[in-house]
Amino acid sequence: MREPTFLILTSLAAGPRHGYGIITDVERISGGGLRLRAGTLYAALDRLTGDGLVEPQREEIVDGRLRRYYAITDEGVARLAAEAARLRRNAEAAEARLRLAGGPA
Amino acid sequence: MNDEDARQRELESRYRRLLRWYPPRHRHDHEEEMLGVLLQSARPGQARPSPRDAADIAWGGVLIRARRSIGAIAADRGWRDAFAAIGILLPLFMCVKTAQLVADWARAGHPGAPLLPPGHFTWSVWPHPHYDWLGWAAWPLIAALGLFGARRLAAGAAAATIAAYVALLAAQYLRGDGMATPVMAVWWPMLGLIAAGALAAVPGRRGLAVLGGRGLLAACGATAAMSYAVATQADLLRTIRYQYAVVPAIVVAAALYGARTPAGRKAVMLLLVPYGWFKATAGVTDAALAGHAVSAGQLVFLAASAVMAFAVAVGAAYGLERTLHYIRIGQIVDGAGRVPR
Repeated sequence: MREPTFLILTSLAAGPRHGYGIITDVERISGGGLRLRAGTLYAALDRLTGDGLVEPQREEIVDGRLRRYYAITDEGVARLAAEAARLRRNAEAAEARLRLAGGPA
Repeated sequence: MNDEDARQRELESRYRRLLRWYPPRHRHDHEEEMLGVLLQSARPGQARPSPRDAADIAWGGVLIRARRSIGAIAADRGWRDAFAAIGILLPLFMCVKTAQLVADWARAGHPGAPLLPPGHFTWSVWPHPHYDWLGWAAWPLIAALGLFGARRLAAGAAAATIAAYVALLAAQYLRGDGMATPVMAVWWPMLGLIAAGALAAVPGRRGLAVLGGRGLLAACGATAAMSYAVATQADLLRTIRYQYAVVPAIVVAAALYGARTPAGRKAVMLLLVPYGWFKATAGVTDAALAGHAVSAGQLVFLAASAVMAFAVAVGAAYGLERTLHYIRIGQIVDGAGRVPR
């Protein structure tokens, strides 16, 4: 799973969000490291929706603009949990090796 | 209306233009929503999209279009059947070349003998071609594996054969004793790759079911006829007879036979458009380059145009089927009240 996909799912794991809400949340989660652009976000949402990991939820009009909220599905939660466990194992292995080498961890 | 409103409007219309990169269906569902996100992300006073934003929007559209097209083709039974049939037909067709090499071998007493006396244009990659048969020896085996249902194995063997052939060609090219003609350098590897892809795409024995007993018999008969034509050719006259009589007759017959079903039409497009490209370019380039090595730039151009021809074939077949589909819908609507058969 690529990082933008992982962070989009992470953002939606806390509850449904609209497009701009996902962009600002992903920026916050990544500590300002990743600011999604609209093209990247909607290509990812198109793929995630097609794969059944995310689904469109409700719509609202704010200042004359349409906002659509997206929610993570049960399958999306399972995939995100599996990916988080995989990343944790890798990170723990890296830290253990760094300790062995007397590194900063 | 103040300046800020004007800038906002200009920005919106520019974003709207960029969203034309997206498929109509996606625009219908998401254009207003995406515009909202884009305008919310814009800096105050911004009047035009940044180049990076513009590239990102366009690239997102390309990705979504590609996903939709591949999804539609993968889900379409007609395409799967077309690939299944091609997975059997192309390896059989490649056997014609094997037959020619075996016949030359028998005539000359060693493999890869030149087909024509020195000084004539030759089908072979090398001026004194002693290795070229290696690239063809595996095709009867690949055809048999495909026919008996071991299609993944056949696909692997086809890919390996083409890789070996291209490596031999590259080695010869780097040595600088190249007479590689476009037909050898681009056309055969491309046919081999289409065969490998078709074999890999549809596992199982679907191809036999699609072709049917008579179709398989006709394909084997055509292969035998072409093999006989090339195996007995000993002079330029017969080469011409083969190129301008036997092959076109078989191609036309196969196209007419295939055009009766949706899968057949797709298979015909997939094979005929590259064949048309080959006829259009190879004649010119072979004549222009006879006796000269093909330059790297020319090879890249030929390979790129071959891939383009294949992409155009897929697009054209897709468009043709949609048109036929709408014509059928139109006929049903026109005949409303009558039960469509």
